[in-house]
Parts: sequence; structure tokens; C-alpha cells
Amino acid sequence: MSNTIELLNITKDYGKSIPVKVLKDISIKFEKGSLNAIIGQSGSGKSTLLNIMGLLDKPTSGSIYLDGKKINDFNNKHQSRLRNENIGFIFQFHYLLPEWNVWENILMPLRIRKDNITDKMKDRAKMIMEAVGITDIAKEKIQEISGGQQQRTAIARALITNPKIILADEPTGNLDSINSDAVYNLIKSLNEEFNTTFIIITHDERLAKKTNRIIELEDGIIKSDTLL
Amino acid sequence: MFTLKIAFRFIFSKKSQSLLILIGFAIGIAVNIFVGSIIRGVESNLINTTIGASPHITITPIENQTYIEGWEDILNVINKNKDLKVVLPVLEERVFITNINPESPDDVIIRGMELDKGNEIYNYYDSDRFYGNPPNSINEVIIGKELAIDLEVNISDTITLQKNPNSEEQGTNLIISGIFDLGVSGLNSIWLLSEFNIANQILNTSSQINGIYIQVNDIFLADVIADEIELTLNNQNIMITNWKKENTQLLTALNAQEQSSSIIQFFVLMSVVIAIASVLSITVIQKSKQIGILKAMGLTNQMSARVFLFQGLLYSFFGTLLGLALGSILVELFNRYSNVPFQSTLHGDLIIITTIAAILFSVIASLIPAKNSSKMEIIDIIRNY
Ligand SMILES: Nc1ncnc2c1ncn2[C@@H]1O[C@H](COP(=O)(O)OP(=O)(O)OP(=O)(O)O)[C@@H](O)[C@H]1O
Ligand SMILES: [Mg+2]
Repeated sequence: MSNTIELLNITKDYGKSIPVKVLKDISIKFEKGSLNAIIGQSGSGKSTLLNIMGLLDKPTSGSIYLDGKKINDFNNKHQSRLRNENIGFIFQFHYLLPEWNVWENILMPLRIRKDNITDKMKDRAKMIMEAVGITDIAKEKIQEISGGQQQRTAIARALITNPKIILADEPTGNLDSINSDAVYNLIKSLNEEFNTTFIIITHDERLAKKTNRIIELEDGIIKSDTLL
Repeated sequence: MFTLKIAFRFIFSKKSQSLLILIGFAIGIAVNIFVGSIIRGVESNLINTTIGASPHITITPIENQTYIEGWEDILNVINKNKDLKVVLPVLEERVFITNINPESPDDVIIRGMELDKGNEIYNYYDSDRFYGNPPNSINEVIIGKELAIDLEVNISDTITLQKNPNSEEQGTNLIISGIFDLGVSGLNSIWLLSEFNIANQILNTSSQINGIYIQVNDIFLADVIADEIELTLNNQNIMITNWKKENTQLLTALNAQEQSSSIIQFFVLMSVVIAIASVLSITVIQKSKQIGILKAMGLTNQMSARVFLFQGLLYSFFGTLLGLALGSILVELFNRYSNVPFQSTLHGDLIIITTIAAILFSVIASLIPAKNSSKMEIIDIIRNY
């Protein structure tokens, strides 16, 4: 199986006079279509790693490859396009835009790419909404739907561009256990259905066990890497 | 364009804030339009009272000549100029009225010209100020109000005119067909107006003129047009002058007034533009989460800058529209209810200049918030959510 994203000798330091090494020479590959969990203590560097992978943050040193291409040297504009076309994000907080309704939020990444929305795109949006179970709240305002629905909307938005990878930072951190399970089951089925690579940060070992692979970070290094 | 749509959404998502800035901007524009219109009104009133019913450019023979030689050719050339409103050839000369006070004949000035055309400049047929009828071209004349009072004559009375009161020759008898009032007693007490041929008859001339009086379409170009005429005619026997040359003090005063109003207008404009810039700077901070999220989804830095430039454009565009409407209403109300002796006039160029300046400056002022939004780092926003 081929790899989608690959990190090579990634380090991240904070602070200038006394640098704090948050990531210490991390190298790791993710297989296409795999479902991965990253676990670890608070402060171990999980979010930092994920943000670097998603080109939201810059590593102090090291390289990031997407489909074999080194992407961390691309200019801003190029990186923006790359994120738009290849990477979907899901965060602990839904990060939906309150000025737009559910339907508009889901279509947002496509709009950013190209303003006119084709019928084909609309059909895809409807199909995804169906898959995540939010078909009947399309016209609702973001502030007026439940936390679980917000997170499902965020997942639908991440899926709309059919990205190669979806990066999720504690996607169920704000949900109760019933909703958390539902979201994980959803992710699992979406992973199987769309063959999208998922990399999910979680605190919850039980949820991590629903994936194919668990990577544990400790103090900026990979402590363990287990295939399930 | 999606960035324009985002700009609209951001504006609509803060309705009261947006409305306030829009109203503020509109008031600024309205004040600008209003002040500009009043100043224009004062100005044109001053100019009108000074030179309204008088020629803007005059052509006369040089000092040692009595008549303009070759005036038909001169007129032919002048009439080709598109900037001129009225071109009036005139024959005027001092004559004496000999039948009213035979012992000491009264001296007056007879002015022969095409009276309908002359009326376009002097407006003596104005129904409020004219009594009687326009004269025919056989034996009638109209005279000024004060002159009629001095001579104690009235409409249909006859006066005898003579070029030289001591000569033995017979004078010409003319019937007064009307009495005019030019609002200037100096003229009312001395002027006698007739058709061209009557003046020629009294003065024993054969179709001579000694003045060409001109009104131009744009009085402020009178000097330029006068120079132009002088150049094309290239005639050493005539003198050309214009109202600007003879009213330099008035012009200086008007200039000073115009400058001070320009300064006021400029600062009013600046303050509303700065208001827009500051509101947008606040908006950048208010919307920083949204910007971060949009950037994470692939919005480029340039696009995010455009979102704020568009907001500046939208605020200034709609603010200007509203301001123009408001300003026109103010001007209208002023004209209707104030009791100053002039009308303020809303000129197209004032509207155009204000609109362009307001929108241009606003977009320039939006560059700063736009730049700030483009420089925002996604990671800083995501981390501090
Ligand atoms: N901008 C920053 N400046 C300085 N230190 C930072 C900055 N961002 C993160 N850190 C530090 O880097 C370390 C790793 O942070 P990170 O958010 O990656 O941890 P995490 O594993 O995601 O933790 P959590 O489970 O609490 O989310 C932490 O010690 C944090 O304090
Ligand atoms: Mg974290």
C-alpha cells in the first residue's frame, strides 16, 4: 500500500533564548485509506504535530511529503490550494462559521476554490449530509443546532472536497460518550466508504481502539506505534 | 466573487455596527455636498449680481478709432466659436434729447442693437420690470425708468434726438414704446435702446458698430475664450477685455472662500474615511476566528485582504449613495425654507468628485486592515480559539 502523508525528521522548538523542544525528530508515514489515532499526555505535542502535517504551522526543521512531493517549502498561496484540495480539518471546537448556515458551511471549501457550485457538488453535499445524518438541518443556523450536529456538520465540511487526508484534533472532546461513539462509528464508516485517510488525536483509549493504528507521543517523540 | 460575498456577510452579521458606520459616512458625505452646494450658491449669486446681466467679453475699437472696421468679417469668425452664448454687435453713441428741455438738451446714450438678442444679455424685457411694448424698427425706442422720471415722459410720448444739439439739422422723432428697469440707476438714467437701424439713422452712419458684446457659456472661462478670440482675430484695431480682468478683487475673494470650503470638505471626508478604516480594523479582530478557519480551508492571504477591501468599498459606496441622497434633501430643504437671497445649487461635478474621492480614499484606508488580515497566522488563531 502507498503512503499519502509522510513526515521526515520533524522538529519543533518554541522560544528563542531557551528553546523548548516540543517535537524531537519525528519521522512517520501514513498509509492511504488508513484510520489512525494519535494519543499521549497533554502537552506531549499531538496538536503541534497535526498542525504541522496540515500546513497550519511550520516545523523548525524536517520535511513533509504528500504523495511523495515535498510540500512544506511551497509558498503560501500554493499551500492554501493544497490544503483546500487535499486536507480536511476537524477540531475539538466545531470551527463552523456563524455567519453562514449549515448547508453553506459545508459548501464553504468548494466556494473558496471556485465560487460557482455545480449540481454535481450539491449532490455530493446532500450525499455526505445523508451519510453524517444532518439532512434535515441544512437551513439551520450554526448557533441553533446541538453540539453533536455541529460536529457532524464540521465532518461533512471536511469531506466535501473529497480530500486525501482528514486531520482531526480531539473531534469528540466536547461531546458526551454517546455522541462520541456515534461520531467514531461515523468516521469509521466514512473511512471505509470514501477510502479517506484519517489521523485522529484523542485522549480516549477506548475510542482510539476503534482505529487501525495507535501512535503514542511522549515529550515530543513517538513512544509507541501499534497496528491493531 | 466569493470574497465579495464574504464581505457582504461580515457586514450583515453586525447589522447595528454596520448601520452606524454607514450613517456616519453618509452624514459626512451629505455635509460635504451641502457645504459645497452652499458655497457654489453664494458664489454664483455674487457673480450674478456683479456680472449676470452684463457682457462677459467686450470688443471695442482701439482709442483713436470710432468704429470697428470690418466687423462683419469679425462676427463671421467669432460666430464659429462654440463656447459663446450670445454675440451682440452694438452701435452706441452720446446723443441729445432736444424737445423736452430745449434750453439745455439732455444727453443720453442711444444704443442700437438687435433688441431680442440684447435681451438675452440684459434681460430688459423681464415682465416684472418692463412696461409697454418692445419698439418697432421704424420710429420707436425704449428708455430707462430713471430717465423717464427725469424727463417726465411716459409711454407713447415723442422725443427728438439729435447728435449735435447746436446744429441746424432736424432731429429724429421717436415714440417711447416701453420703459425698462435694469436695476442699475446709472444705466436706467442714461440708456435709450432701439433697433440697430434707428441708431444708425440718428448717428448718420451706414451700418457701423462700435462694440461687440459677448456672453459665454462658462463664465469662468471668459478669460481663456477672450484670449482665444484675440488670437484667432489677430486684429490690431480692436481691444478685447473680459469680466475677470475687471473684477480681480471679487475673484480673489471667491477664491479664498472656495479654498476654505475645500479644506473643510477635505477634512470632513478624511474623518469619515478614517472612521471606515478604524471600523474595519475592529472587524478584522472581531472576525479573526473566521479568517483563521477560512484560511485553514484554503482561503489565500490575498483573498482575505480582498474581503476587507471589499468591505471598505461597500461601506463607502453605499454610504456615498445614502449621503448623496441626504445631501440633496438638505440642499432642497435649504432652498425651500431658508431666507437667504440665493439658491444653493447641486452641481454634477461636486457629486462626481465627492463620490470618487470618498470611495478612493476609503479603499486606500482599507488597505491597512486588509494587510492585517492577510498577515494573520492560522496557527495563532486556531490555538487561541
Ligand atoms: N505558541 C507556543 N509557544 C510556546 N509553547 C507552545 C506554543 N504552542 C504550544 N506550545 C507548547 O508545546 C507543547 C505541546 O503542545 P500541544 O498543543 O502540541 O500539546 P497536545 O499534546 O496537543 O496537548 P493537549 O492534549 O493538551 O491538547 C506544550 O507544552 C505547549 O505548552
Ligand atoms: Mg492538543
